[in-house]
Amino acid sequence: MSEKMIEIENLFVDVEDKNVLQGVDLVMGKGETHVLMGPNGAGKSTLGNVLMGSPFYTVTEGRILYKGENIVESPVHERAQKGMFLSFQNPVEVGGISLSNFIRSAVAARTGERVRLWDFKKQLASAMELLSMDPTYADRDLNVGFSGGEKKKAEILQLLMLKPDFAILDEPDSGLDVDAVRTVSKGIREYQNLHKEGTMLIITHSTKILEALHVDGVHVLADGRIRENGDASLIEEINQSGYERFLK
Amino acid sequence: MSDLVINQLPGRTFAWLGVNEAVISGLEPYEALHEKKELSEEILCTRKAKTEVYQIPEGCKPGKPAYLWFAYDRSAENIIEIRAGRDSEITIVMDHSVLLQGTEKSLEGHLVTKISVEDRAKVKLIEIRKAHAGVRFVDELHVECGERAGFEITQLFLGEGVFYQDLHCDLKGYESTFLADTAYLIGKQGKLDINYVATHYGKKSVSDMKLNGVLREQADKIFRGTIDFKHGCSGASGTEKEDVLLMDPTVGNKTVPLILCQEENVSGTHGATIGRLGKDLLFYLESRGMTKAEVYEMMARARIDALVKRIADERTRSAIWAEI
Amino acid sequence: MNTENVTEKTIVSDINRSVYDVRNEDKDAYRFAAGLTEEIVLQLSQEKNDPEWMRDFRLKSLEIYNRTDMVEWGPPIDGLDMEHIVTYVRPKDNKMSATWDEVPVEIKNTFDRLGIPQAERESLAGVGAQYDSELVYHNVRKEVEEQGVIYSDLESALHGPYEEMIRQHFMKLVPPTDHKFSALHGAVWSGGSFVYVPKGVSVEIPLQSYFRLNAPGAGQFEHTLIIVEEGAYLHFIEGCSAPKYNVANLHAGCVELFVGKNAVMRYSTIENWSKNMYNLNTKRAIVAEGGKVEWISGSFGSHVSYLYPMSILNGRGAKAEFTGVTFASEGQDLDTGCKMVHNAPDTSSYINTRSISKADGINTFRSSVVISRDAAGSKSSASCESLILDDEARSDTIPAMDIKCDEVDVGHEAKIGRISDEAIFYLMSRGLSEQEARALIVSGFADNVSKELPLEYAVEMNNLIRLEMVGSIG
Repeated sequence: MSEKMIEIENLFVDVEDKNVLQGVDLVMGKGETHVLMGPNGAGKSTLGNVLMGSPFYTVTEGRILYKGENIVESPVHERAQKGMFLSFQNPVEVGGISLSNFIRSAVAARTGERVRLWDFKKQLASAMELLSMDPTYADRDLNVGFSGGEKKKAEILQLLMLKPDFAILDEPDSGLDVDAVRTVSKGIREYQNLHKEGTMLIITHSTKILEALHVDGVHVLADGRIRENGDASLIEEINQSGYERFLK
Repeated sequence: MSDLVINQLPGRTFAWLGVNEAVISGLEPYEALHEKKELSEEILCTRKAKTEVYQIPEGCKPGKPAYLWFAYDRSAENIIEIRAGRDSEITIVMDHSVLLQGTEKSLEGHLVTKISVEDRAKVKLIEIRKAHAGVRFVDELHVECGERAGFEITQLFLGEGVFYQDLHCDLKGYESTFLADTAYLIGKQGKLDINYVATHYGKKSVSDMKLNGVLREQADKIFRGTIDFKHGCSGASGTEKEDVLLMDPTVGNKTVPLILCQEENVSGTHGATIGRLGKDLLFYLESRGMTKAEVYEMMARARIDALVKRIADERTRSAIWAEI
Repeated sequence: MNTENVTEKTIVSDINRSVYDVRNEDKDAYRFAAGLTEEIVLQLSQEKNDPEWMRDFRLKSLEIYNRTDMVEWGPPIDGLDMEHIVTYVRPKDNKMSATWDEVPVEIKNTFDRLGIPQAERESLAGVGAQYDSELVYHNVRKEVEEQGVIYSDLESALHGPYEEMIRQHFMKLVPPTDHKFSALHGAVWSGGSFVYVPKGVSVEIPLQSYFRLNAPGAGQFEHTLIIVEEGAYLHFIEGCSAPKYNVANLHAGCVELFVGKNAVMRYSTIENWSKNMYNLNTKRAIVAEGGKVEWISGSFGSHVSYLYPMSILNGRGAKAEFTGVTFASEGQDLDTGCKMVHNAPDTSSYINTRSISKADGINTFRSSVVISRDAAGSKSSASCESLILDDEARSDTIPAMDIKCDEVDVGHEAKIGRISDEAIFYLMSRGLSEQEARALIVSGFADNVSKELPLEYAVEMNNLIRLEMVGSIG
């Protein structure tokens, strides 16, 4: 196991007085790609959001060590500046700010430096091309009127432009057609290539998107706890038999 | 000098709310505003105002907008009448920012505009107002639309001045339309006191009012928006949507969205959202590395930008970007 | 000036007019001035055997009444005989009480259609027969007494161990200075309920004002005072679906609810005053930290209504909910709504109203949501829907929000429209007549209230709607 990027220790999380995560333990090393699977309502999305610091959940117990530092009390923007990224399942629409300007501000926040416009535009254009995105979307208001597929692509676009150290992808393929899934998968592979030290946590309950990816660890979350840790072969098993054996 | 009573709420309410009307001392009311009177020489001469009448000939559709600049020194009054003849189409840009800033003096502007949009004509009005502290600007606008006539207005209020806006649009004709798209960013001790009234007389008339704004520091704002369905306007529809971003604990916001209805076959809706940025929006933007303060600044600016982007005229857009 | 009414002269004795000289020349002012006098109020007070402080209170209120103007907005109250307002106070003296024969036919017909028993009918019509509900009332009283709950009429409670408690609360929430008719109420109030629920007590059965229908005072100037202590729970139901008829056509009641820390008070009303009545009612609740007040309100009757239950959220985390439906039909001008005041942090208010306008009825929804500078973290959400049923009807929505704090979350939406033709067609295709289809849709529309009411009341409310829409029940 290489140096650890994320260590989740005995995490308990509440949402509105309901206990959703009941003692989650999870470790991910640098440069690794992990998959979090589980039945609907298990709390997968919750975990992804809590790692990013979502205000909708409360951590009642446990630690989250990011690069060795406990970030449970860290504000959201600091986690982002330290290299964390969440690709949202249902990204919010933000009128008045173009996709391009938004990404530029995010890159500036991440690097702490001013972004040179010319370089940026080139990079953006090439990333959009990789993701088969209509270039005019760069000037459109962030996520406003975007279809489900375009919203997901816009999230992966941000992933490519921001090059985070730890990326959480919350159901990156939900609601997408076959072509879009392929494109998103392509984007994820590109990120893996560009950022070999980067760690990724893919949250999903369908396995299509994982087909062409190298996966280092697979974890099953059910009833608020991690029930099983395994390798890529676990994916196949789940495909065949579902989640039944983890629910006992 | 008498007092000018404007921004009167068509359906009065609890007096202690202080929203039934606005009283401005030292200004004279202009009686002919709400009547079908012509702007005769006689009427014009009794006031020390600069007056102008613009007649757009029938069927005339100039491709480019008309720009109106206003010259004010210390205090000035302008009375404008615009008559858009049948089947004409015109965009008019009224820019007051040039005159309302740049000097440190206190200024008072009073603009009275009367617009008649005749059958099948379309008038688009773009008004930009930016004022520093010490400026008071009072605007009374009365519009009447004929059959299938359309009136669209885009308004932008910026700065720390005191703005009064009274806007009445009478949708007299069948299928006449009224669209209002307004944004504002008021700060320091600025004040914005608005009254929009869309009165539906004509069958299938349509009105839509959208306001998007930001209040900071000690800014104070009253928005009254009325959709009034008169008996006989069967098939009409009216919508109103206000979104106010409050940025400091010392701001004051009053919102009074009215729907008055005397006709069975209509559809009216209004919505208002007031407060801080939603938690989900904040989370999304903070997850990209921005601090809360940065997010607020960005979103405040975004509201104005969103409106400016919707202005079709390039020249006006550039002028605004240069200003702000 | 005006011709003087002979009856008027025999009642009003000569008093130093200068005290009541109203200085403006307004016609209205003249009418009001020639109404109630100090002597009448004193007489009333004496009959009720008021403690001294109450007598003084009445007199002070009268003074305020005489110098307060009527509000400049809202439905006209021309039909109110303010000149003879004294007659509202002393109906028997002025031979205003009717006999059963004199009760209007429509009222009798409604009783008939709603299946109201005869004895009850006479009581509802103010004809004064003794009604069985007295027995029910006494039984309920005994049951809750064991829990330490006081449930009595306000007048007798004034002479018991609770006099001091009442004195500390009476018209402190709705002071006589509030508006002209609260001042009138303060001067001539009569009858009403007093309920006290001690700390931690949860009253399982709803208490109802209906039990006391035939109490003296004919319910016109009733005062309801309810105190719910910390952690307690009470559900109080006011009114009933049958129309309450009175020849003297003014109802200027007052309801004051004091909701303690973490307590819950649910106040349900079905108001169906007969269509000659002016219903100028004032209802107010003040809620302490963590407490909650729930208003459930169905307004059906009266010729003119002014009704805006108000909730003052004075403690951190206090909550208020208002769920209402107003049905205005022929000849009615109902001005109803609610007021929410957020005076403390993390408070929340929730408004859900539906209004229905039929024939030439006028419905006005009037509200205010005020959030003060000290109310950071407050939320308010309002949803108002209006249904217009015909061509002559009128519906106005006049809400206002006054916000002086930035850490808030305020949302408001309103909709107005008519019953969709598709909905009617669908129901008719299942065998209902058009009238029945419309009645069903309107009942469904009013379900925001009916589903919050105890079953018998919900059934009664739906019967009322049917009666209005179809003219019969079942």
